Amino acid sequence: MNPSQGHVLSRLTRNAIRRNPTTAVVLVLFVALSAALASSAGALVVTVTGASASLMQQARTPHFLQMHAGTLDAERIAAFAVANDLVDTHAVVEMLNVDSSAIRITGAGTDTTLAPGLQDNSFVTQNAQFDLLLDTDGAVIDPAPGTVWLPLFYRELLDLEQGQRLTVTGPNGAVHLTVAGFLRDSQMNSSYASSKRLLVAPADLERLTHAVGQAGAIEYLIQFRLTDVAAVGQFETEYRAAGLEANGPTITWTLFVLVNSLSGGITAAIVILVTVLLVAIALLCIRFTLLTTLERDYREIGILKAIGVRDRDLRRLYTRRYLVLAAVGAVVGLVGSLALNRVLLADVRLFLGPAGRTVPSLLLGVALSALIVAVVGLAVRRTLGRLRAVSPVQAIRTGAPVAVASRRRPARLLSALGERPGTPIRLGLRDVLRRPALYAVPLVIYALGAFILILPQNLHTTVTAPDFITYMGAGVSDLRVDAQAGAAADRVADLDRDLAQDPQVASHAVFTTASYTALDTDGVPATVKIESGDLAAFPLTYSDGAAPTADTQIALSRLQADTLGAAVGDRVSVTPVSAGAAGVSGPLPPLDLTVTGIYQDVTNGGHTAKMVAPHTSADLMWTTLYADFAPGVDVPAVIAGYAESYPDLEVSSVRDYVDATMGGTIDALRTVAIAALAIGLAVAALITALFMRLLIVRDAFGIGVMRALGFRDGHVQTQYVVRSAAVLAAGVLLGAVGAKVLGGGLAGMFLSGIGLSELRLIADPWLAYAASPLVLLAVVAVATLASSRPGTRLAISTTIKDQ
Amino acid sequence: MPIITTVSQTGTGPALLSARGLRKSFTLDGQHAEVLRGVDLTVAEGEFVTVMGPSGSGKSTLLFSLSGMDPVDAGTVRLEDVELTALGPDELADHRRKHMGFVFQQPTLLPDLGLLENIVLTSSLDRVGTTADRVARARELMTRAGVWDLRARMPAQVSGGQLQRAGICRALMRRPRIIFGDEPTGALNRDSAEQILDLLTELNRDGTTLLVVTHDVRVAARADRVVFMIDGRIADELTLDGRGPVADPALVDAVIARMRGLGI
Repeated sequence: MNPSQGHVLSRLTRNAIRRNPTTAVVLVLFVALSAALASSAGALVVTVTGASASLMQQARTPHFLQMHAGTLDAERIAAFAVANDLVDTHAVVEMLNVDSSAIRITGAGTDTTLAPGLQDNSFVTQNAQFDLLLDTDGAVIDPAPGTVWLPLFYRELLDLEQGQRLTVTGPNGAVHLTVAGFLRDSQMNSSYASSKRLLVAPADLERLTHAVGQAGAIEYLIQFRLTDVAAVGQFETEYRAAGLEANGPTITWTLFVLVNSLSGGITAAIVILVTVLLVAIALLCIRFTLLTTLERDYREIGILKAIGVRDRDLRRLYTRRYLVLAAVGAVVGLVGSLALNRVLLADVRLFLGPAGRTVPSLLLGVALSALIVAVVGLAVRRTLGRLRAVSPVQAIRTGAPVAVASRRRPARLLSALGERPGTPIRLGLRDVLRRPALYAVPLVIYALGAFILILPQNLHTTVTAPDFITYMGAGVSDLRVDAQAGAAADRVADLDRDLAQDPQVASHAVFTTASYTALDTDGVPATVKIESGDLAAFPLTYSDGAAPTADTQIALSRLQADTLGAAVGDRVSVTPVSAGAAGVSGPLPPLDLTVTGIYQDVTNGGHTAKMVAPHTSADLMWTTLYADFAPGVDVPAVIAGYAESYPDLEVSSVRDYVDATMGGTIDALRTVAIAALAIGLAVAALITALFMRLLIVRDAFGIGVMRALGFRDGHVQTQYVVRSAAVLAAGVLLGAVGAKVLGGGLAGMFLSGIGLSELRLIADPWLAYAASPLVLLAVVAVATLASSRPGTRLAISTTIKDQ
Repeated sequence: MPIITTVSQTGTGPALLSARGLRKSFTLDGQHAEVLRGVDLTVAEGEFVTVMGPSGSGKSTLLFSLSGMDPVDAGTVRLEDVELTALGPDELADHRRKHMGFVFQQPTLLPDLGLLENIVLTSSLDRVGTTADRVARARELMTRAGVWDLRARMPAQVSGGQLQRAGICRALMRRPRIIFGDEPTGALNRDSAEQILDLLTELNRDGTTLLVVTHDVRVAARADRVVFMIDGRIADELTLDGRGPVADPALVDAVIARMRGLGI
């Protein structure tokens, strides 16, 4: 290309951008969003790994941890540690497990137990050498007597504040402590760790142990720091071979690293997923813009070719146009990511502390943004292959690629509609049918938009549906009462007797849960919480098999089945707990049970079991009562009546129970659903505006002709509304079908961790298939009308004369 | 040279289209240009008027202003007893659709519709008669213009002359009161141009009013009257009595002589 040619080409570029600034702005916006999210995801990964490593270093996290409940021979462990070359230091830490509903926090505007966290809670004292609990400044905490330090997890979850009062109530009295602050726990920080540690002074731990008495349980953390972290596998084998205490889970350094990074990692994964989606949309937009631009510039291209401009020069002309836009977008995105990082990294900084990796995360952001620009460049080059097909002769003669005689199919489809729809509607539909390839891009985007709009909605509907209780390891019932083992359980029996005499009650049943142990797939004992009672009274939904009917049968929750490596038809052996709380001595015979069914359960960390046989375990945990009322009974009134008669029991409707247990999840899903609605609508509006502007520019000649012939602006706009509405309808249909077909599986993938792997989404048909599409349609129609006003922009004579 | 502003009516019937004091200016690249500087013009029913003048004299702007496609800054345009300049955009569009026909220099058929579909387009929009009625009317016009056999073709698949003839059929489809032509033969070779001219003359003889902007003296020589525009004003006009099947050489000479006289 000679210099003057280059000058002409750059002027063409500038003019093209000036002619259609909306497209340029939208492209910059999408690339900016993609670059911002990609950079932030990168920063998140870098920061999370950095912060997690630095926290674990400060806290001197153990390399090997063995949990153990029951009696313990500390001297034997000490002897092993001394004898083993791999051991640097070791410690045996005592934890006092207290039921979360027995821990209450009160203060200005706050009155809550720790139950909503669905965690196991233990009181501990500060360790001397390692496994240190740190405050938010990274300093080792030395709790003053009468105070307690709570995990940051609870501060965020329950909105707690320093200075509030924590009360632990047990059979032997209550202990009051003041919340002195919040701690970072390098082992159990994450919400994915199912236990939390609460730090108190040694004297307070003694008071607590006395107060909770039998209701509390002592658990031990047997921890080691090794001379070589890499040898943790070898050390584990040696520990096992020594036959030391090990009836709880074993956790190694690698798992701590994983758990600490998980929360940030999942956020990063979601951000990356959204980024990929945005890049895909950006690429689709670029392709669409390019195709329409090439079509519009057909004559120009033909003329340039005719005067001897090479394909390569033309490709460079178009590629540069988009590369400049993409580069601008990438820079804007990088700047934006700095602001976004503040939000995304807030949690990481809070839970894990500073990472000290600003420069690497910035460099990664730059690299990822450059990658996006490169992807844009490649996509543009690929699409530009079409330049070769432009014939200078055809281009100069007609200014457009040869339009062939109309296809039969659309003609027939439209003639089937008859005269009724009117010419503008027919013209609009006809255009969509004639050029499916052109409309494929907005179709895909609308389908994605509808998908991300409908899926979270369906998830929310599912979780709030009455049937959701079946995913919580329970049958559908009107009333539910939960009580801890002990005095409250006896009151449940009283209530059950009252219900038996109430003619308004159709059915009722009491279930008791007790703890057993069974060997997991690694041969390590695992706790199994088995609920026993008349399972036929309030039947569960089984994803596999059926309910146990005989004393020799058991049903397992999905995660429990995974832990034990059991499937329907397998036999599992569960050992009743004999010692400990109940004080019964001597081993009890194990129960050999056949697995008859597997169900989904999100309660108790997803690990539960059901049987009809009476309990042999001495470790009774809690009692649950279900009741159904006769038809026509005013259920809320009756429940309120019983709640008044039994003020000491938590008598509630199942709805309340689900809300109380799943409240956090429901709120999160509602937020996600609203955010998805906003994002879906914004993307749809943006794409429509872009698409319409491109179409209007492309169709300027035809629009001018129609207006000259006496088409009102409304007639012209109707055609465009019909086009976008038709494409949107198809897109929503695809999106809705996608949400229905793939939604359950996709949700299952994300939720399998909490015990829901086979979630069957329940859609509210009005919301998902009427209200949402209508809102989407309204937004798209408004966007179409706003961006397809021909009269305000184009004088008829200009558009016709321009051609 | 004195500029004669003439308000005249030499047609065969009462006034169909009349313009008074039309003014219009543009600002292009920061330069203000007054394109119409007070134009008065009357076209009688059944009359064939051509507008001639040098490039940039405001001929096409006059045409677009008279047909209501471009708004004017001042002045009035009436079509029979309706004042077009007082109408809103929608009413103007309705008027164009129902009472006016257009033939442009470049073929302005919609590229995505076949020839027949293009021709029946506005009749379909208003559902004039049944589909069969519309096709019958189009067939009559297209047969006369010699393009009926091409009815299923797309605009890109026929020649420029054929397109222009289809364009005339489209203009006539609704039996408009007046047809506006903007250089209807400008883009055609001599043979095609002759055919188009014959068609237009024939239409005029059947009573259709024509207002045609042209550079071509052979077109002008077939009209009842030639209006000359210079610098946004009507500088002169010439009444002819040609309207033969071909342009009368004497009339062609008369037009040329008048143009020379005006310095065009």
